Amino acid sequence: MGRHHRLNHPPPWWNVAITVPPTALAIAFIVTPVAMLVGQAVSIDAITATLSDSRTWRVIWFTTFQALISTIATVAIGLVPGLVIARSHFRGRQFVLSLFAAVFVMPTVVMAAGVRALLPGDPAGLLPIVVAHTMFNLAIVIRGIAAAPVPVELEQAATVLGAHPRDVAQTITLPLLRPTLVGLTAVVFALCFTSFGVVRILGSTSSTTLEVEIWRETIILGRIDRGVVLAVIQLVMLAIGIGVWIVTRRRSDAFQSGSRQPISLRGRLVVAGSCLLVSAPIIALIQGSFRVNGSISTSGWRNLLSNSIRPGLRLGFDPVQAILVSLVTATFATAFALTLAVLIVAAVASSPTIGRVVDGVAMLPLGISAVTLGLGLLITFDVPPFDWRASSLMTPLGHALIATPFVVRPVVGALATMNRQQVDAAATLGARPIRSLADSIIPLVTVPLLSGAGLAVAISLGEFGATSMLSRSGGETLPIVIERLLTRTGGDFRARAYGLSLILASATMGIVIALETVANRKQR
Amino acid sequence: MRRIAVISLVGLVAGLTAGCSDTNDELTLVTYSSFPASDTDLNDALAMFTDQTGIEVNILNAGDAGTMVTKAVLASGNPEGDVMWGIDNTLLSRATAADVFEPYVSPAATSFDAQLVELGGEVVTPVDFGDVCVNYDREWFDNSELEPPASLDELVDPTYADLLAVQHPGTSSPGLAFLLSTIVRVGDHWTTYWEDLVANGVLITNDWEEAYYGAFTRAGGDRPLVVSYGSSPPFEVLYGDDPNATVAPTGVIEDTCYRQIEFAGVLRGTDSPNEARQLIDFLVSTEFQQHIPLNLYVFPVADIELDKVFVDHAVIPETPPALTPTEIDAGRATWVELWADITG
Repeated sequence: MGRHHRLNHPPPWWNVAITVPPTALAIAFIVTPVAMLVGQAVSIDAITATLSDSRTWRVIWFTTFQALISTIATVAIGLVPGLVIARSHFRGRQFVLSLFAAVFVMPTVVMAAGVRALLPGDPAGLLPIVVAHTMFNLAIVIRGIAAAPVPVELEQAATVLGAHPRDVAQTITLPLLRPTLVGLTAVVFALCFTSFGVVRILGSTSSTTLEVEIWRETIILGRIDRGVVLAVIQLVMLAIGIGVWIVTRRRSDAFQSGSRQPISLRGRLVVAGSCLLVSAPIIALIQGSFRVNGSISTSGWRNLLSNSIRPGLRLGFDPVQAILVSLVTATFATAFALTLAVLIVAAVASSPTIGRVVDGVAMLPLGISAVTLGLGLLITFDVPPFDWRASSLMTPLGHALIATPFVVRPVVGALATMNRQQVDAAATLGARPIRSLADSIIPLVTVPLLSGAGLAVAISLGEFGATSMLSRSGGETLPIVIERLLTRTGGDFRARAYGLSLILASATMGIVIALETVANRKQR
Repeated sequence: MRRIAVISLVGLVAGLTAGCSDTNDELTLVTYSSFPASDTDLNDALAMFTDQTGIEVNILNAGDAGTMVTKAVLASGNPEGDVMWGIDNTLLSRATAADVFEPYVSPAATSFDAQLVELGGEVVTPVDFGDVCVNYDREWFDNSELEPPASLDELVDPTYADLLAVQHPGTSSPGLAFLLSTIVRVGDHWTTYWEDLVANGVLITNDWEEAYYGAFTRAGGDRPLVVSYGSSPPFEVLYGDDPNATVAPTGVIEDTCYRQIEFAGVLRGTDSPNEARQLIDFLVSTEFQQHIPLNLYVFPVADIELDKVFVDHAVIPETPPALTPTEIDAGRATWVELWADITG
């Protein structure tokens, strides 16, 4: 970064101050718990046994392979609709964007059932896994691209000068979109690499991921030591991936984001097609919510909010309370995640070098197995005054850790388009460095930050894996209640669970639409 | 923005440190996730315990049974609560090997089935039991010319080809129970038995839901035989359209059943061992045990008259002696791996 003069940069104390909170939180809530677990559970024997087991290597291979295929499929399918939505304004744009978020929070069991319904036969293995991953993660790609700034003016200029649309895409759009795209690809890859629910349901003995294998060893077979060794392997592999990505990452050139254009007919078709694709599981949900024991019935909906099976016989949990618990949890989780994200973004903007490291650390939660983290937190925060094992804030904190990378990614992508010279010019003209930094980044990050907040809400509302690992007393979140309804014999429980899933999806859509509306007002 | 950050951090710490006091009038009951947290007769019974003794009982949900035990092993000596409810015989030796419990068997246990008490190894007290059995769809068999199979052996008969769905023992608790059932009942040749099952077109799913609500003919699938619970038929009636039905829509093949026994124990490291023992005594008392069947879908260990729906629709089959927790723990990983090799 030689071209920037030192004088124009924020003072060193600022850089340190801004990086301390996210780093400290990462150390306290991610690094220490995992290290404690490694220290307590892992022996040389366990390492040797795990590494010499050919199964370990087969699992590593399959984990990587399915993640690659899933990522390629997701980005390939999401790129064009994402670009269309990014550069167009049309009625229902926010609805479309919120639809993808709603699919993202779909309970895994429901998505798996939807994928099964789509694919003929009785599939297990690579194909259904890839299809399910693509459906889930399209939200990340499409929403990420849609929130990114678009070089509309540059493109128009090129077109006016006679460039072919394909050349415009290749020489202007894609290169400028590169930081966003690479970041999103990394997030999707990490998500597929550490996939649990989808693979547990749609995988088989031979086609399984490290994350599922960690759970199998730790919880099912009780070999905690081998489970932790696998968790470390997973973490190291992803850390290497993140490291390579950070080192090779390039900044894109600065450009002015243009205003959105009316959508073309072809654009409409593309958007409609992608909506249709992700609507499949939602349609399956609607159908399922009206079926009880093979015939059509509204009893699932009539009993949706009831905590009874019939008068005098209770479920033992309360759907209404679960909705409230989920909303409160999501509020806290989003607040935590946004706080973290703002600090990380400030660090990235202040100092590219420190920023890279912090940015990388912020991606770590993506590589941590929920099982490992849950058990690590259990043995780390177990001594008063830090005995937080059953604290009601553990769940939102866990959700915030998971959601932070999703909030940070698009914001950092947008930041990459920041015009550094403008910052420097402002500073040269006498603005204090922090002030000039704030002035130039705030307008740039507000929209992606609000969009990220929407995703954080969605992640918290739909989160199941980590929540189910944390000890808790009192209220359950909605996904846990849905899962409990799905594991009961008889009655209309399945229809009720599907109905509640639709409530979950609608709540997500409502919140995401509200946040996008605020973001759009800000933009204008 | 910085002020908001500071406020939320302070709030976080305050929230995390609140509610940690644990005096002797308060006990934490560590349970698996399907234990009702509130509202049911079980919870009312616990409130009665509080009225009688002045001891508050907080229910701590530690995840599914496997997660609960894994956590207890890691936290051995510095437990998350005072009493654990619901560790079963497939998981017990994992916990006892790590000294999770302070040995205590309720005096009331002398009147329970001695075999169940013995499996607790004088460390924990049995609290309930249930069976994992092959269930069949009555309507499907009524409409076909077949009689439902009567034994484990008949499941490998080509007459019943492509009719059975089971769960993966590496990912599902009823799946593991059914594997153990074949090991106990078939003996050394259980691997051959599974080869025959595979040849006969057994369908393997990862989870119970997938088998019962996906593959089972009652849910619209094409398998009229499915591994589920011995208590599934009464619940099909109880939760069905007609709670007074005389015949349950599903039946149980008794010769396939495997018994799971759940225990309660005092967690080593508790501050309130005396109160914890009092709670165990209450958990096996009639006042609490009478509510177990309708809320936990298993049978009480105490001698209690069962609800009519259980008398009419449930069977408590004669099962061969269960494997001891030690045998299960020693064999489980090897058996599951052998099983996975056979089923491919």
